Amino acid sequence: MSAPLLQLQNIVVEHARRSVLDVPCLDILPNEVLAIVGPNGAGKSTLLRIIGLLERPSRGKVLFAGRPISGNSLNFRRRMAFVFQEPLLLDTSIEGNVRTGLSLRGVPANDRQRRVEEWTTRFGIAGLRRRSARTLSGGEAQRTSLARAMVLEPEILLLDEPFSSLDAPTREALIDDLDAVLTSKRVATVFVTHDRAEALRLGDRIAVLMGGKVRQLGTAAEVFSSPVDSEVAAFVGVETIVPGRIREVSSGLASIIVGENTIEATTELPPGSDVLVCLRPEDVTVSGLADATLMSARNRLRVAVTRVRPAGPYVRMELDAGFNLVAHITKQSLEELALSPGANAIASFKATAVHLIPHRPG
Amino acid sequence: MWRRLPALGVIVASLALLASSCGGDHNELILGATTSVQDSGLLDEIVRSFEGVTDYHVKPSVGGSGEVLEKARRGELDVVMTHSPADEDKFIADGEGLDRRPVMQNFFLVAGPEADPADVRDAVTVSEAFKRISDSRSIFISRGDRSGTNVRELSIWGEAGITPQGQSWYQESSTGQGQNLIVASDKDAYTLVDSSTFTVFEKKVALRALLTDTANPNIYTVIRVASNKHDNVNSAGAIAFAEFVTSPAGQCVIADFGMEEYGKSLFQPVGRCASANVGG
Amino acid sequence: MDLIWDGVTEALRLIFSGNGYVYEVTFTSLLVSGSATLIALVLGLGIASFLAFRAPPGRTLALSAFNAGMALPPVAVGLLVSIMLWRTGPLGQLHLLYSRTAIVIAQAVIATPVVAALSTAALQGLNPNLRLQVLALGASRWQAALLLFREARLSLLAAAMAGFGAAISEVGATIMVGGNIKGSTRTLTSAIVLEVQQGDFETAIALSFILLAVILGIITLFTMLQQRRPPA
Repeated sequence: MSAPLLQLQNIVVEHARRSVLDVPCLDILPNEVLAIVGPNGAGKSTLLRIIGLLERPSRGKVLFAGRPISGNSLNFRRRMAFVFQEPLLLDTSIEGNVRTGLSLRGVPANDRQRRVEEWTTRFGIAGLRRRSARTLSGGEAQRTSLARAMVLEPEILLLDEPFSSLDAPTREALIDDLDAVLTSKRVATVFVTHDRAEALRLGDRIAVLMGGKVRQLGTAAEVFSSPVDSEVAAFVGVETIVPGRIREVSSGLASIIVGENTIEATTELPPGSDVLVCLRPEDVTVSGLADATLMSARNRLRVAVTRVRPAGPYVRMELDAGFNLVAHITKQSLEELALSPGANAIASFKATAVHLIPHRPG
Repeated sequence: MWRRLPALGVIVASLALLASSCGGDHNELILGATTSVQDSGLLDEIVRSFEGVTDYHVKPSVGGSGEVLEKARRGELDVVMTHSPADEDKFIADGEGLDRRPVMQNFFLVAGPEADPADVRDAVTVSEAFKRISDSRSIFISRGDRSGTNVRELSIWGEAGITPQGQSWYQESSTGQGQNLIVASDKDAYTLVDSSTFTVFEKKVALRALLTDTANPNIYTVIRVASNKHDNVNSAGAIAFAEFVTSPAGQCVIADFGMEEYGKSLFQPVGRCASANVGG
Repeated sequence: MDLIWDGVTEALRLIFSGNGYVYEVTFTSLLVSGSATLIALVLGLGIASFLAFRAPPGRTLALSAFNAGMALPPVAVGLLVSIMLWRTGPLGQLHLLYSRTAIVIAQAVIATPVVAALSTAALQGLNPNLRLQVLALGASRWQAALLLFREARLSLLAAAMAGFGAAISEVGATIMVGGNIKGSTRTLTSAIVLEVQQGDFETAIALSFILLAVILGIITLFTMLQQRRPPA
């Protein structure tokens, strides 16, 4: 585990006497992409500005390579690069824009030319170099902003929802390009997004920020499959969250009473614990009553279909198992099953797919 | 390069300011003069001649006699040239002025429309003329600014026993000499004006000189501001100026002024001029 | 109408005959108003950056003062400045009254609120994140200010032109603090006033045309600068 490039210690940010950010500890590690996710208003942009030294916290310290930053942060700012949601280009050509940071940082002229060429090529805008910033499309502008940041060869790259204002195909293309760049250049990156899919795609570690606090920090698997509490669970896409109690545990397999059902899950919690049972909709399989015997999952519940709705590439089914259970099935499965609200079916899921959160009732 | 720019801007601005400044001058002489002297053009002439023979830089402060004497009382002027005897008397009596000397003179006259509805032409004295104007309720334009002309005008009304203020035919323009004439001309009105200004503006206005008050000349006096009362007064400069305008050389400058353009001196010097070119 | 036509021909005659007086008053006008505008730009842009970028408490109050300052009656400014510069006034020892410097000061006082108020509005019109972006690219506060000035140059140049216009067209304060002295503090505007007082209407109109031509020329240069587009 290498030394962190940048550390936040006891950071508190207050706006109009309200606490918008409270982060006791956060490390930015070299060669790692840290994705910060959270709902709107969680304080993600504020956190990124604190890391980027563009805003001073009300309390707390920021350390860069072990040294606390106080007073003029200019030299440290010059070791990082920041990309905003809007491209924020200057009124000059693409080339002029990409060169701006280099001139500000005093990079020698011959170096400048070479670097500008390299990075405009990497982001696919080399042919447009002379074009005025005012004539660019959204995607071209954001590519320019990214090139402008990467050309500075920063030690830390900061991105604040850089793809949010782009349409889906442009976004896809740009994420691909950025992924390629980050993979080849291995720059420490902090990347804010409200889109879980982007975080999963690009992030090595994910921090879930809600209400100004880091609720969970871990790998994608940890955060998405084992959310630490119900709010995080809801945010990361766990749609079935129901209270239950562990009746007994044997060899790591627990039997949990949920209403009138018994659910099996792997856990280390002791019997008698009150828990929240969490299930991702992708992990729930729905089948007709007749097919039940082919399932290998430990948990098989008889359910009634309450609602069927399209959800992007999937179909979201709400099922009544005595509690509300949500499943995602493919459109094809829906056609094959021919299930509509009111019909009965079997929902099944593996014991390992069930995630338990200790829960104090009431 | 980026960094230097603001500092550069400040330096350029300061240099510009320094280059443009002509202040902080200890050879400066602040002369209070009345508008008639400036409007006729004589002021520029006197200043030019005076600066030609001395090292002083004259800074004229121009206004009506009342304004000029008021400024002098504050010690803002070194020497004044006014034409308002009563105000000047008080000025001297209050110990504000020294070494009062007459310099030149002209005459007041009543100017009015060619048609002369009040029949001023036939009046004998100016106060009689004023009475006729009042009786016929013809429009009269007053300077209304405590200038020498205005003070004289008001004393004439006093002599005639008339209070013109507030009457509809009596209007106060509060402008300089020449402007006042133009206003009067536009309104086909009567006004009191000094002969020098009238000569200069004669061709530009539709008024005639209807009655000249030759009995009471309008005397311009130079007075030095009391240096014993105010610390900053340039008394040496004031003395030099007073000497100059009353010297034969200065008196000649006054006598020559206007000869070329009007065929006569606009202002009569009180003393002798070296070259015998005194006009009437 | 003849008077105006005569004025035009007189203006041309004065210019082409190399009339010293005309060149002198024109030069004085340009010198003092140019200096005053420069000072107004430095002060005005400084104030504008502070108000726009640092957003201090009490900003609205300060801005109200500067906005009101745009409507400041120049003759009142002239009176105030001359009282300051009187021998008996606080700055009397500087002997600045009736000098070009005094006019520069008065015109700068008149022009600065104009530049400050319009520049603040111009800078506030920029995307607030743009400043952060520029700082993130590695700009120091000075570098950031200059870059943002360039981004807002359309409105800032308009502010500069407004300031220059206020200075060069000014006459009341100019005469009060300058004394309208031939050869040093007589500007085009104060010369026009004098010519009118002396009844020389032709010359007054001629000088007016020359003043208009000078203003038009300078503003045209500024406008061309403002409208210049970076290569597309």
